[in-house]
Order: sequence, then C-alpha cells, then structure tokens
Amino acid sequence: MTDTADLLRPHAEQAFAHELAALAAADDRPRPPAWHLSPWAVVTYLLGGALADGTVISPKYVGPRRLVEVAVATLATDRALLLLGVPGTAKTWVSEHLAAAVCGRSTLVVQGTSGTGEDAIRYGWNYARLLAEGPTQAAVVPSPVMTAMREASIARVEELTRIPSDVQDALITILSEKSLPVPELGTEVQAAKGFNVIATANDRDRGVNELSSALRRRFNTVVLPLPATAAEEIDIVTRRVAQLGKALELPPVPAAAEEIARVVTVFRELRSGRTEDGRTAVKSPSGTMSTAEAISVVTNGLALAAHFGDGVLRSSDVAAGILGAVVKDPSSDTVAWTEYLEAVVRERRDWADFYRACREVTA
Amino acid sequence: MTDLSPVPSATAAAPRVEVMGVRHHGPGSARAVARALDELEPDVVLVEGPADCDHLIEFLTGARLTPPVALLAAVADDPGTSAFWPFASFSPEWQALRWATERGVPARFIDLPAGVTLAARPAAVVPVEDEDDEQDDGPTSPAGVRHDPIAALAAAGGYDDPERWWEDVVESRTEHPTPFSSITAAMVELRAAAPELDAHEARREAHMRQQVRAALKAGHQRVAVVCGAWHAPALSGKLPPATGDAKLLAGMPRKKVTLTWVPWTASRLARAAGYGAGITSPGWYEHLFTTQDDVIASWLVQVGAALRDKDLPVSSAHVIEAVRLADALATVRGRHVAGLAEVTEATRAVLCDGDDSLVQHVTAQLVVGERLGEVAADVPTVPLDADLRATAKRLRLAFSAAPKALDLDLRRDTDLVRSRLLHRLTLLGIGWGDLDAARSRSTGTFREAWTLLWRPELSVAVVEAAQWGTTVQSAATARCIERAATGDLSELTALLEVALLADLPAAASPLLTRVDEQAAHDGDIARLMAALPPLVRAHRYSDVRGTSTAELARVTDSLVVRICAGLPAAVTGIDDDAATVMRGHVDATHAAVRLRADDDGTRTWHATLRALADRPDISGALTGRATRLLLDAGELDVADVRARVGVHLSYGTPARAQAAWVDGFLAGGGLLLAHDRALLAVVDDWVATLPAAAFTDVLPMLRRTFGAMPPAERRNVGDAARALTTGTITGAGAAPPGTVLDPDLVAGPVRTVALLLGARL
Repeated sequence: MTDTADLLRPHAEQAFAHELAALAAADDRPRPPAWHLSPWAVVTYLLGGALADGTVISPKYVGPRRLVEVAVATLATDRALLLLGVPGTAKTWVSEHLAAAVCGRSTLVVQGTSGTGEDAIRYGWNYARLLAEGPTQAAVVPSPVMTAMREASIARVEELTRIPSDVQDALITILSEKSLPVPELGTEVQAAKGFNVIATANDRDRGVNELSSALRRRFNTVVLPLPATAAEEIDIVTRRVAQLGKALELPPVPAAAEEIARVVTVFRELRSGRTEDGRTAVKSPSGTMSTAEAISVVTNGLALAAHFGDGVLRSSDVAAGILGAVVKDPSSDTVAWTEYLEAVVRERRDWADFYRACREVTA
Repeated sequence: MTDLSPVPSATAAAPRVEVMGVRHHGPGSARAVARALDELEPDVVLVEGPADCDHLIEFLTGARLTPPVALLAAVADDPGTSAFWPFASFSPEWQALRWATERGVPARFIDLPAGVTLAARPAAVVPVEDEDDEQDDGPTSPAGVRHDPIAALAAAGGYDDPERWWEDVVESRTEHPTPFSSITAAMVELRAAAPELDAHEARREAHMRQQVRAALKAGHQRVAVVCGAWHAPALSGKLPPATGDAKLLAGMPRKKVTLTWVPWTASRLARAAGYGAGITSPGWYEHLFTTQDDVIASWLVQVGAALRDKDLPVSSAHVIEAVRLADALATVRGRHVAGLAEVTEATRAVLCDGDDSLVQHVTAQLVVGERLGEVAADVPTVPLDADLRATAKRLRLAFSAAPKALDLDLRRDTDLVRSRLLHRLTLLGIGWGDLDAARSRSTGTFREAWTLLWRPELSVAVVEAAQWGTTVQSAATARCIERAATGDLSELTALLEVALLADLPAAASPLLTRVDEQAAHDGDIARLMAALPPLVRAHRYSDVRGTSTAELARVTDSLVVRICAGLPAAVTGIDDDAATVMRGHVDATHAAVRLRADDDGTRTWHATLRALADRPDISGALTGRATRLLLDAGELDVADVRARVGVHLSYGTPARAQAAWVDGFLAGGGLLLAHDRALLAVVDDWVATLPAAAFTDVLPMLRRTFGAMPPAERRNVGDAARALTTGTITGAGAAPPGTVLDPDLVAGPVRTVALLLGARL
C-alpha cells in the first residue's frame, strides 16, 4: 500500500482509515448487505462523535444532522442518492465520505463533463483485443459503475447535470433494473446487493443539462444548504483564505477580519435577497454568490493588497472582485447591484470607503 | 342507568375518581380518553376549561358546532380584553365533552372562571388554552415542561413528535388498559423536579380540586376528570382538606365577561403566538386521530394526491419509495415508528425532488390543513358584534334596512371616526357602508360620500369576522395583515392606502415590510412605477392623519431608487406601443416624485430622466417625454432643449420616430410652443420640410398629438404658427397691429389681471 503521507491528496478511506477501523470495531448494530458499517456508524463518521473506546471521530460535514440521516437512509433503501446544491456546499466531499464509510471505497468515480460519453457509465472496449479476438469478455473495459455493480460498492457520479442528457439516461436501466446488459456478448452484469449510486449536481450553474424526469424519479434528492449563519460563513471563509494563502505562498497580509466580514455580508445579503437586519429587501443577482466565490474574492483581494497595495486588505482590493462576482448578466445584475449600492451600502455610515470603492469600479 | 341521586347512601361503595392527564390537543390522548370513558362509564365528566362556560356545553348536542371551534371570553365593557380556548376534534377535552353530551351525562368545566382569569391578566390578549404557557423555549425548558410535559418526556426519549412517542411508548407498552396511571406517575416525578407553582397556577389547581369535591359531594359515584397531564397529580389520590383551597380562592377579583363559541381554523390552531394553540400540525394530528392502521402509507398517499393536484407527476411507485425512506429513516434514528419529521423528510427527498417550496405547499395544505370550524346561528353573539353596535351607537349611526346617504366632512372629529369605522368594516368584508367614489371625488378630498344599508346577512359576516378579533379595530388590523401575506405589489399598496384611511397603524408596519419585499423581488418596473403614486399619496395622508411616516418615507424612497435603477434597462428594446404605456408610467412617477419632494429622490429621478433623454436607442415617445419633463422641472435650459428638438427632428431620424418624439414632447400641454418662438420654428420647419410620403405617414400621429390639446391651446399654437409664417413678431395672443381696443371691454380683464399680479392701476 502506498504511504499516504507522500500523496498530494489521499482518498477519504486512506486519510481516515483509523476512524473507519475504530467505528467498524465498535459497531454492533445490524448492517445492510455488503455495508462495512451500520447506518448509525456512517452517520457518526460524517458528523463526528466519540466512541466508547475513546476514539474521537472528527466531523467531516458541518451542517444539519437530518440531511446526513436522510442521505444514509436513502442508501440503505437501495434508492440512488442525488446531492443537490449550489457550488461550494460540500457535495463532492459528502459523497466521497459516504462512499468511503459505506463500502470502504470512494474511488469508483465518473466525473461528469460535457464530453462524458456512454462508455464512461456503461463499458468500453479494448480495441486492440477487439480487433484481434472479436468481442470477448476480456476485451470489455468496465466503467466504474459496472465495477461497482460487480463488487457491491458505491459508484459516484460527479456533476451529473454536466453530462449530456442522452448519456445521463444510460443510468436509467442501471437504476431501475439493477443490471447492465452487454448485447455484444449476449450477457449482462447484475448488481450485487450493496451496489448503489451517489450523484452530485448543482442547480444554479449555467450550461447544465436538466435531468429527465424518468431519471429524476430514480433518485432521492437531498439539497445541501449554504452556511446558516453569518458567523459560520465568516469562519469558513477566513479558514479557507488562510489555507489558500499558504498554498499559493502569498506574502502574509495582516488579519483582515473586518473586510472579510463585509464581503461575507454582501454575499449573504445579495444571495438571500434581504439585509442582515431584515429591514430591507434586495434583488438577488443571477450568479450563485456562493461561499466559494466569496473565498476567491478575498483571496484575490489579498493578492492585490500584497503585490500592488500597501499590504493591508482594503475596500478597493475587494470591490472589483465583488463586482465581478455579482454582475454575471450585464443588464439585470447591474440593476440589482446598483440598487443594492444605493439603497443599502450607501446608508451604512461605516461603509463609506467601501461605497466609494464600489462606485468607482461600477461607473 | 347512571345513579344521579343527590344524597349518597351509606351502603354505596367509595366513589371513584379517575383523573386522566392528557396532552392538550393530543390525538393519542383523545383516543385514550374516549376508551377510558367507555370503560369507566362515569356519571359526571369534569373537563379543564373555564368554569363559567358550563352553559355553553349544551351547544355540543346536535350538529351545532363543527370543530375547530373556540370558547371566547371577552370582558363585557372592554371586548378588547379577551381569551380564546380552541378545541379541535382530536382534542381530548372535546372528545370528553362529546362523550358526555351524547349520552346525557352531565359535563362541567372546572378551571378558574374566565372572568377571574381575565381580571388577573389585564393584558389585551391572553394567549390561549392554558394561561400558564409563557412562550416556551423548547419542550425541555421549565416553561415548556409545564406547558406540554408529554412533549418533554418524548423529547427526552429522542422523539420530536410527541404523538408518535405516545403511540410507540405509551400505547404499545402499558399493560394497564388505560395509560393514565403511568402518565400521572411520570408527572409526579416531573413536578418534583420543577420549581414551585406560581400563585395563579396554585389557584387554578385549587379551583379544580374544589370542583372535584363539589362533584363528590353532589353524590356522583364515578367521576372522570380530564385535565392537562401536568395537573393530574394535583387532582389524584386523596385530596387534601378543602380549607386551604378555599382560602387560596377567597377574594379573587372577577370581571363580567361575555362568553360564546366562535368558529376557528386549522391555521389558527397552528399559530404559536396570539390566539393559536401552538400545535404546528393540526392536519397531521387529525390524521393520527382518524387513522388507526397504515398511518404513514395513508398519509403519504394523501401527500401524493396533493402534489398531483399541483400537476406534479407523482406515481404510486413514488409513494412506495417515500414510505420505505420514512421507515429507513426512523431506523437510522433509532425509533420504532416514523413520525411527522421522517415523513416530511421522505416527502422532500422522494416526492418533491428536494424542492422546499413544494414541501411548504404540502405543509400548508395537509400538515396544517384548511379545515374551517362552524358555529350554528343560535349561539350567543360575539364581542365583535357588541363592539360594532356600541361604536355605531356612539357615532349615532343607525342600522337601517333602507339605504341612507351619509356625507362625511373629514375635518370634523365625529365624521373622521365614522369614516374610519366604515373603512374598517369594508376591510372586514362587512359591507354596511358603500363608498360612492364618484361623489366623493367631486366634492374634494376632505369629503366622503357613503351609502349605508344594513342587510340581514351582514350579521353572518360579523360572526365570520369575529375570528379576526374582538373589536372592529383589532379585527381589521388582523385581517389586513393576513391579506398582506399573499397580495402582489399593487394590491399591497392599495391595502396600505386603505389601512391609513381606516387608521390601522399596527397594520402599517407589516404591510410596509411586505411592500418592500415585493418591490425587491418584482422585476417588472411598470408594476413598481404603478405602486409608487399610492405610496406617495399615503405618505401625504399620513401627514394629515398623524401616523408615523418615517418607515413609509423609507420604503417610498427605496422604491424610487429601485425604479431609477431598473428603468434604463426596462425601456430597452420595447416597441412604440409599449413605450406609450411606459410613458404614462413615467408621467405618473414624475408626478409622484414631485409630490414626495425628497431632494435625494428628485435628484436621482432627474438623473434617470436625463439618461433617458440622452439615449438614441429607445422610442422617441420616451426620450421626448423625458426631455419635456426635465424642461418643465428646470433641469434643462431652453437653449439645450431647442438643440435637442433640432437633433431629434433632423434628417437622420425616420419620420415616424420624429413624430413619436414630438408626441412625447408635447403631450399634456402645447402652450410651450406658443410661448417659445424658436422652439416653434424648429417644429414648424420640420413639418414644412417633411417629404410628401413621410408627411402622409406621420399625419395621423400629428393629428393625434395636436388633437389632444384643448381647443384654446390649439388655437394659440395655430395663431403663433401663422404669425411665424407671416413674419409678424408679436406676443402670444397679442392683438394684431392696427386693432382698435374698446376701453369698456378691456377695463374688466385689465382690473382682474392687476388684482392677480398685485399691481395698482
């Protein structure tokens, strides 16, 4: 086995192998067929907790408990699970950890792109063999889904809505019949008990292919929400910005708590369509205004401040970034942004420098 | 046959008192009560509820009450001080009363009389039911435990649906035929850990004990007591000597109250504050109460049907999957049966594709439900009616069956109050007065012309409106807020105007919040612009009527900002017809902004108009109009405007667009042309040099533009134009040279003009 310490990014089951082992040892509840842990233990693995033997399980997902319970219960009923949400809500992260906890293997992944073909979901051919021997079992190149069906594992499909619709629909037979026919050989692969699919998709991005209702019907849907409170979100942004700053080796810039709080407030207000004090309603722009974008606005601002500014994160460093994040559609988003600037930002006395900086880049 | 003999015989067995500690509005408790009563066959049923409402119990016979209904107590000379005790069909108290009335067994309320409760709590509205329920902070807080101790037990057992806990733990695990003895035992433990009862609470329990003693003294042999579980230990077992309780109860203040039944709704049961019973899921409880088997499956079938009504493809296969998920989820959570939480999660994940708005639809329609209670006509009158009659008497308005005209002068106090009353009643759907809009407008803003006509069916409307409150004012306020929850922007602003006319300051703030919210989410600028004038008018009214204006001004001004931000985009790419409509909105907005007279807003608006006037890519009707409005407002100087007219009427612009521009520029007043010769010359020159084909093309439009001017104005412009071509330079309307003036004819007008100008002759 590879030493995980040398890896750039170890898989969930590698990074948390000791937690999974401790849970498996402590877990005496009934397990669904082929599951490595009981549903209770899977929920504990994701949300964190302490075991009787003193092992501390770190929380992998910070968010409502009920969502994780619904997700695990769905997998236990052999229905496929669809994790839905705007970018930056930890869909992929949750899917990876669910797969690692349920079947000990998170690597059977189909990455959805607009170029994903049917052979990524069903099977492909080893053409050298195909030409040499004709269609034989040995010439079939199984997809991750086919492998998961054979080996009673969880297959993950990332960014399902980026996959062209006709290719998406290849999943229908797999999910309803739990079998994958190989007509060239006159055989089929039938799913072993324990096989299931976790798909992730986001509903706000552009260039998505809506799921057909036939496919949609075969999924239970869990929507992962954005951070619930401003404090929580500021915390996430601050932490990620610090990590990214280190990774990108930006010169250290003094803690810019106030500016970060301001960026997060702007993002939250525009996203929710309401000011934090609840007194004024604002238009939401067409962009997602996700936490991930807030992080990149602040990181950009830090880079600007470090390389071109005076080393302190100022309103002018983040203003352009915010404008870019808000105005995705030049006509309607400009309206929303102008309205927000004039009706909300301008009224806040201690935001005067921010207002000026924004006016400058807007005009 | 029950023994109703008043004197206990010496040989009778010791009388039996069965205390049933229930969960208020708990269907599980209700079923258990019904079962226990059948088994006990009591000869009197005592129910926790205001003791002075005993005479209202008889209305349960026949089909005169259809739950949900509420007992309403209001202080006789101050109907605004009131309390409600709601009952649903699944309330154990209701089931006990029904059981007794159906069998002719006497039933009594045993809690403190409503008159005492209302005297003890002078607050305007006593929140319902158990008066001891301070807003609880969750089932396990001290107040929460007292209010709903069974929910606290369920929460301790890991259940968030107390009824499913009852089902799972109480019903299926007690050996005793009824669960009440175990419940009482549990309550003894809970009470031991709880802080001391407050004085009011202690008096309530003392009163209940006294009533139990009275029932025993009257010779009843089998007494059933239905009360909140919390009180069960206080009434069970051997009662302490009566003297202590009598001392506690002595000398309590008491007010005269009117008591009656009023119809209730499921959504009001669900409301946690105010008059609600704090049950968030009356529909679900109803289902639990009426369904014994396959609770989850039959519920999800109903959910599926509700979603199908919304044209969503929900198949039986879906419902099956939802049932499976609910069960699996209960297992993951370590519960034996799925509850509402699990069912709702399953609904969201399987049936609604994770869409919260659909889940809310299901919640509103099924979980809360749309059930309406009914009260027969022979039930005593409601306080709202009393308040209406008293107010009408005070204002000397008679309930006449013949139409009667009423002209109000709003500068007089009595008339102002009358006007408010009539506006409030209209808001409540009690159409006693009919505002004659035509006559009111013609007589000026301080006059209102009403026609009063009392029709018998209005009494029914009064009873229906009684659910909103006990006085006309409070009811109208509540109704107004309720309507605000659903209306769109134009309805909201209209409602806001009515709220100000009816003087409902308490409704204004929530309404404004809704207006603001709608304005933010409404992308249709035309609607925003239509909403502005009523808001500005309301702002004007409220000045006169002395209501607070700061909030109103804030919302109005933010609406101006929104309009200014959105207008440039909204006029892009619209055709001439749409532009004409938009021109009307621009005019109305302009007038409203001027009336509002806020410097910031006016500046922003003028800047927006200027941007419109400068744009080459939009319809001439709008650029022309914007130019004119700016000219009239003194924002553009005359020379600039002449240049603009020239540009727009020059060769590069198509003739039709030129005509549209002229139409926009001249609409609503052509005198400008008669006064500004240079301007007229530009327009005149344009018409004169139009190629023949183009002239035919724009002629209808020009005809319309000039045809819309009043005849005198048109004549003036015509005269001025004639003077232009003949080269005569004279003032508008000036006499042609050589005219001889008749001094006698001229003297009158000259004097008048002098008077107007303040000049001396």
